[in-house]
Amino acid sequence: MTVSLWPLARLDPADPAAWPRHAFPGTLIVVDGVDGSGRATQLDLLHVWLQTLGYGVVRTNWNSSKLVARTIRYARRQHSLTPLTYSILHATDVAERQEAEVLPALRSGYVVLADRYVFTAFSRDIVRGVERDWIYNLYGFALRPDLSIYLRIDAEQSLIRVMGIAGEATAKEAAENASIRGTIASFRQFQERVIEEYERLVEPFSLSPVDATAPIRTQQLLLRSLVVPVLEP
Amino acid sequence: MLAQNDSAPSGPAGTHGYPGTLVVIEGGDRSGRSTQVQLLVAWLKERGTPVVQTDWSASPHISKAIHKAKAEGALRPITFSLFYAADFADRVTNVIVPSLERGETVVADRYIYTAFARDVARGANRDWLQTLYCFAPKPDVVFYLRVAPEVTAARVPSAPIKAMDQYEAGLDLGLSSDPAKSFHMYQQRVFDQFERICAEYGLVVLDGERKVESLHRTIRDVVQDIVRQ
Repeated sequence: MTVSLWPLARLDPADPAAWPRHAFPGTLIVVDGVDGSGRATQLDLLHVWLQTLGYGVVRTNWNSSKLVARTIRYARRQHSLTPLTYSILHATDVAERQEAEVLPALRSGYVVLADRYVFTAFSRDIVRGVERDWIYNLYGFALRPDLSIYLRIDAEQSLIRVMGIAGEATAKEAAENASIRGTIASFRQFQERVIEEYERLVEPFSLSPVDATAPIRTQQLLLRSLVVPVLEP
Repeated sequence: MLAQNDSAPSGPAGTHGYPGTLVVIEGGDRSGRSTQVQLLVAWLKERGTPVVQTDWSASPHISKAIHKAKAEGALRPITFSLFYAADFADRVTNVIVPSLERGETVVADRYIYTAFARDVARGANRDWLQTLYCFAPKPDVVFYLRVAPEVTAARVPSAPIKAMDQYEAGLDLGLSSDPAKSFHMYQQRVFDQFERICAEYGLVVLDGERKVESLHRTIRDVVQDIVRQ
């Protein structure tokens, strides 16, 4: 007999709150939020802090699986993939990292820090016109995080930060993603809609919102206070 | 933007709502499916029907990555399943739907039924798959070339199984450490899934052991009545 390679219990679109918990010894911690919400900064700090506490830490970043990232980057240059295809490709990326990186790490008791997770896909893809039930089903294979932190920031603040840091690249991405050709206005509009969708996820998915405009240290202390209860002793 | 077609059993012709015609030929590995697709496409072209052929995992953007991943042995089951779904979504949106909108005849070498059969054989949940693939236009007709697993096995070239597609043999599933045994077990599972799918979705079952030309004539006769003039 074979072991089932698929999670037996899955995320049910009709009842996200009943998303079953994993039973692995490790801990899956997600930090999600729009561009400019300071995810990487907070994750870097968490990472070091967890290591000093003696935890093995594995980082996994959105859209970073080698095969899928390559495909997505290539396809993006071609401007020819529809939101539906992108949506499935992003899910493929999550699946590949889950199967290759996250699961082995959780089985071995590591703390997995995920920079973005399914909530990024839900909020972005719904804004792009993909049906909510369909995308919840698509990610039915995904593991439920032990903790999902949502770095909350408004579109205006995120825009200031992104323009200040990443400049044109991200604005260009937003314009393409939102199918709205334009520059700053379209980026702000896209961000506003994505943020609205994030807010809708807070309750059903038990996201823990953290004010991303607070001082970095204040946020980090809050994050640590959220992380401590979910860590294995 | 997601098409409204549900994945209910195939209804009468034209249920996808486009002016074109969608013909699907399904069948397991080595069932003679590709030969029948080629013959059908050639015949349609000859009679002047605008025809577009689309093959499983053949999107220009994604298939390369799939083949590379397979070659590297890097695809695990869920990733495998979703990669094919992405490839299919690309073909649906860039090839199949635009062609059907233009009133052309689309001949698909494999369709969602292949994904259903393989992925369920690999442990995927059926409801999950049905919802995942609900964007697929419902075909006007689906032929299934049924070949018993023993016959499929006999059609395997004498090359060592090691050299063949390890996914075709289900080697990644850990069914058996013996490649030949794994191949038979996996093919049997896929075959069983197709039996269920044929009944559930109303596929036109054809004996895949019949002569190539005889099968072609049968397929042609059915398609002739369906293709929009």
